[in-house]
Amino acid sequence: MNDRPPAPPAPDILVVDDTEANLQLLSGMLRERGYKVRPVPNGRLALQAAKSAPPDLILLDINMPDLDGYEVCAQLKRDERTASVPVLFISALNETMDKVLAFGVGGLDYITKPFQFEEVDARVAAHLKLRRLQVDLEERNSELRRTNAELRRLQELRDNLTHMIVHDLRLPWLGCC
Amino acid sequence: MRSLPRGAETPIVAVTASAFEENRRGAIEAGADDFLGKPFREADLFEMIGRLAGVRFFYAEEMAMPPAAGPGAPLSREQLEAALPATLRTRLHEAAIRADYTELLALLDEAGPEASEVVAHLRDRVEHFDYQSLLSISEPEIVKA
Repeated sequence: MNDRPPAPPAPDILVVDDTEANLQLLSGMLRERGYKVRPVPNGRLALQAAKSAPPDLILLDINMPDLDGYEVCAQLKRDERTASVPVLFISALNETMDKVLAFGVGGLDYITKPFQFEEVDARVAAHLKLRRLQVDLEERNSELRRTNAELRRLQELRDNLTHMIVHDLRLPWLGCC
Repeated sequence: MRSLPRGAETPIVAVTASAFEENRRGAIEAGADDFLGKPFREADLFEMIGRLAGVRFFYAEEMAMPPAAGPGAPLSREQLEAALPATLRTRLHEAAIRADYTELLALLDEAGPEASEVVAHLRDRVEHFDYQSLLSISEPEIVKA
């Protein structure tokens, strides 16, 4: 039997692009790198997928009909279930891309098409690592808060007990005189 | 012909081997609706008949085009329900909401051989990331009251 600890689940990446060929290419390459990939062809389905099962990271095309990438990102950031999921924008070089707006709606990074897959892979890995550290930190923080609250409770209990003992020790004197 | 009691409204196309303009005028003056010089092309004749008699021709090629039943036709809720058990349909629906591509394909592999046609259709839809067509027929009927 294998006594090594089970491998952590593969990071879950939501890839959103309205061009089927791009979606095939990007999701195929990421899957090869061992990621769990959920490819989505439009903004509406992306919001639904992200909210029902928040991914570890989202690669989001900007130029899409109906709901564009900026709007999808803004909506994700407004929902507490998905607010902390890192969003990386993807946009073609010849399409208009407002980088200020991209960061303004909560995007963490952007990649321009045509891209080298190595670049996408590196950025994805870097942001996943950052995200993991952040989650770790939050977990530790809340654990510290829990420990702190427990200590306070114990302290209060001890004070009450001391008070009670002192009070009870006085009582016999009152009874006899 | 035009002087016949019921001949006034019948469209008449004059057909002649002469391409001269006066023949055309003569034909129109005699009450013809239009004029076709020989040799004429089949398409012109049919176009003229269609226009004057208000007939629309259906060509065999057009008739063979969709919407006819085939792999391209959308799947109905009834077809899905007949082919797959409710538990599998629910799991497919949930996986489609999450856009869980790998899970969707794995679930389709679980279906029995009797559902192969429906499965092939759904697999094609999923491979084209068209989760919507699955979602619209797999949503459970009983929605919260």
